[in-house]
Amino acid sequence: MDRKLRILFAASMMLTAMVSAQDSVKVPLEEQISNVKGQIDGLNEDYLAAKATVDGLSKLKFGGYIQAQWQHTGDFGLVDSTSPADTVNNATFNGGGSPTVAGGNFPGQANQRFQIRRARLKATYSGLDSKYVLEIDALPSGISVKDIYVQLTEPWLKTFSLTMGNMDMPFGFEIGYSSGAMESPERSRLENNIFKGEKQLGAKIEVNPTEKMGLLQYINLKAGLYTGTEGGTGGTGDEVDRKLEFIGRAGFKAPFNDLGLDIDGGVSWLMGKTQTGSDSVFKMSGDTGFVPTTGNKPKWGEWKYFDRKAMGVDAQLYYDIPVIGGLSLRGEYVQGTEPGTAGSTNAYTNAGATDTVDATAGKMYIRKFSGFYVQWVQNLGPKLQSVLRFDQYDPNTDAKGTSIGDASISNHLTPGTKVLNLTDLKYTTLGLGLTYYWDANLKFLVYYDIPTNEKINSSTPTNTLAKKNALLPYTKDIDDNVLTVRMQVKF
Amino acid sequence: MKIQKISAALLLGALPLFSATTITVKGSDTMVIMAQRWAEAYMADHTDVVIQVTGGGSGTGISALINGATDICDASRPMKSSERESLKMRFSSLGVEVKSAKDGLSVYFNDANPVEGLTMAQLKDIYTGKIKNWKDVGGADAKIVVYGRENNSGTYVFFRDNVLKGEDYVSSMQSLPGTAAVVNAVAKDPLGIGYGGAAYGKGIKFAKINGIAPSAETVKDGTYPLTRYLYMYLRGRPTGEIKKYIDWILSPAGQAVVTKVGYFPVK
Repeated sequence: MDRKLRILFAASMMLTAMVSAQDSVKVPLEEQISNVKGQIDGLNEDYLAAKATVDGLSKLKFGGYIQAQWQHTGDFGLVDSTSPADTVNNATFNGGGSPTVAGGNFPGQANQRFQIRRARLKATYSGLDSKYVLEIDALPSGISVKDIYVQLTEPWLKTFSLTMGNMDMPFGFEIGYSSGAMESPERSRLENNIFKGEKQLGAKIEVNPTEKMGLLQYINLKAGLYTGTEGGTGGTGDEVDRKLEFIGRAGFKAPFNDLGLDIDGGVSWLMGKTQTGSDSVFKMSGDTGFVPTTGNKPKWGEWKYFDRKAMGVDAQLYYDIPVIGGLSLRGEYVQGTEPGTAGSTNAYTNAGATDTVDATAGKMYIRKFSGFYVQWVQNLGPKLQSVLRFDQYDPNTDAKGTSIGDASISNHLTPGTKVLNLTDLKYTTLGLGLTYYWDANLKFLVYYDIPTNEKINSSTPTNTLAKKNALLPYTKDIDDNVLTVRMQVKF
Repeated sequence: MKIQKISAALLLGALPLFSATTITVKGSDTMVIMAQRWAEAYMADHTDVVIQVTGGGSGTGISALINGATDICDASRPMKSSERESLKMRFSSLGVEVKSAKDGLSVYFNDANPVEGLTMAQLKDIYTGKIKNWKDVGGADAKIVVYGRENNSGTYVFFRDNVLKGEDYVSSMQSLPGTAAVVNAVAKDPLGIGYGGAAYGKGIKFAKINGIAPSAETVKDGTYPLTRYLYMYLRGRPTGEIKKYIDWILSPAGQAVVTKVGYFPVK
């Protein structure tokens, strides 16, 4: 914009000079100079006024990206018309396509689909010490808000900052890693369950010492208090109870520039309480199934709080290999306790439930979980990048696969008995992919996910037809591999 | 079977690794003349190498490096930690920093200006708008006309970080697209003040800062308060022709070019 103004300024000057030359016969030279000077001063004032506007606008930046993809999955969920009684790969029984975290479960009997995975638009206004951020995700299914926050960085040391609003949870590494920069299409199965949506509403303090602060520059800290996830919508909804959730990470960076090596890492905590008024709260009993809690469970009409907690460690290693390119090795391990429901290990969102023993909607199932991922990213020159990734998520570390589907412990319809179902299955996933960077904005990704589920006990009959049909496919590894071909434009 | 096919594709994809004899250099306008002289001198002795040099500013050059659009980035300021993080995110590399020359970032006065120098505090106050009249720093009773660089310039950032201590420039500052433009503006404006690289200071006079003028001695021993390095950044450790080129720039022949264009050798 400055350049345009200067061109306009120069053109005006030339025009002024020409007009002045034509009039020079009639108007004294001193007067002409005075006129030109006046015009220049006027233009200069206009320029400065316009510049102030442009400078203000330059603090507002827009960015975003669109991820369009085509996916193909295995035959899980397809009806076998020649063998309608097939209980293994039959949609009649399992009720849908491949269950996957790679963009959400495949619907109906589909084994392929086009999908707009993410379409983000982000506006950032950066003042001298403050920042305003608004990011939306605009999909054919609707528009959702991802980030909305304000941030203040103190002006003296430029080390401490306060952020308030809807933001990434400060836990581990993967949550804060931009979806537009990820080398794999999705985050790990663990993150997709325990930190679904990655965002929460709250306030956070960050400590990021600058390079002028000596050794302190190699450590960082971020911690905040958040609404919690009971309100639904992935922790971004209204507060519904009297408890806040603490989430924090203490990290370090260890760059060895001369060696082309950098090692980063951190330790993270999540400490929260989940409210329920349901009197049906279950915990695991040994490795066989859930039992109702005693003593601490709510009575009708009162609220009780149960721990939601996690602890994690993460590490990232970056190394520049001459000729070939940089590599990164990343890993993260998380374990904790998560109140969920019978059918979901996502955070419990029924804080207002006041179920009595005969209702099921508000039943709380408390599981201990663990999970990890390791990932190797290798750049191959400036255009190509390969990725190999392995992750594991065990939503119920107390449960054995062989206990799932056991008729004697699987009737969750009757309070007081036990239930273990597909929600409690452990998964490991191998993924490998290749990215081609067309230019600074466009990249193509081909990625293949190979999930392997824990097997249930095929010899143990289930006690209802519906449960039997849902569980039987999992007596072996279901055919749910996913090929993703993605095109991403970022600006 | 599927894994085997994909593994083969990964290996095939890895084969067409780049091996170009064209080296692209982009970034600092302060360094662009020196970079062109380096390229010309090197290409004269290495006819199989083509070196393409463009300016645009340090910030533009660093963005190009992060986006894979240039092999070498010239920068008149160090990379910010956020820029290093971006490089790490995209290329899993910290980047390589090469100190290629030294510069005394100079403050320019018009030859007709009776003021000989400023303190760092006065300089800051002028560029943040607290001092607006030359008489406040020992000059005539006249308004100070402030010239500076655009915000994609490394010199702009260096000056803001080291002189203004992070404060904003005065809104009336006229932002110009290169150090040559700043020099030209101050040379024509008796009330002007500008800043830029020492190599560009022709037709104007250099202000003493805290009583010290920028010279080979004061820049070399670091007593001049606005001494800085001029950098070259690469995505990874250099190999092949790029390594040879960098080695040559740091050799006596390359450093002679530095002196010739008006900057100072790194050693």
